[in-house]
Amino acid sequence: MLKNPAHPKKGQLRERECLFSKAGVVYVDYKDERIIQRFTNDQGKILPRRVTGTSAKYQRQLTRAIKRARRLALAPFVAENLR
Amino acid sequence: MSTNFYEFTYILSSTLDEEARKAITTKLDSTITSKGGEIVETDEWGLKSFAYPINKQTSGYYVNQYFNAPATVVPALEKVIKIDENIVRFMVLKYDNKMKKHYELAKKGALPDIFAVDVEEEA
Repeated sequence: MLKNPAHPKKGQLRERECLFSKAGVVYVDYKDERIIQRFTNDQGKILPRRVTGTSAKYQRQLTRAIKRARRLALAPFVAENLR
Repeated sequence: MSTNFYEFTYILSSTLDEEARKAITTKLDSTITSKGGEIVETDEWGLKSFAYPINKQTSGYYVNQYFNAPATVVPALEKVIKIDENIVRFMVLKYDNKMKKHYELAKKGALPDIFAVDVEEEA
């Protein structure tokens, strides 16, 4: 979307940088709670790339990490208790 | 037989007392070593509360281990785990080169921190 010069929002959208590529991370660990909380919303859902600005490669690793953490009860599948 | 580096995390039921836990951990350790494995590091996180209830319990005793072993160890380990009902969840991960490098950096404390970059990023 952002590479298309004819897109109506081309001038307005701010290009977000991938935090993982910038820091030079090798592997996204499922045990790191700060990363997991940062990339899920309060309902427990995984945030999309267009919101967090993560690159595709790290988004895949991140998804894998979050799903592993969910299985080990380190992150919830659904967390709708904040009404 | 070439050996692989594995990470093994398991959760014990919170209703067990100290001795029962020790018994299970030693049983698993000996299963690994008897098949030719070598335990590199054991990290017991202790009682942690769950993000969702498992078997009606809200917390469990987490143990995190790293070991080198040939590939035949893993099915044997899983067999022992499945029989024991006090082990609530488990996960064995085989480490590839990226993950191994991450592990080395974590040992040295030199992990790149993604949150450190955050502060200067707002431009």
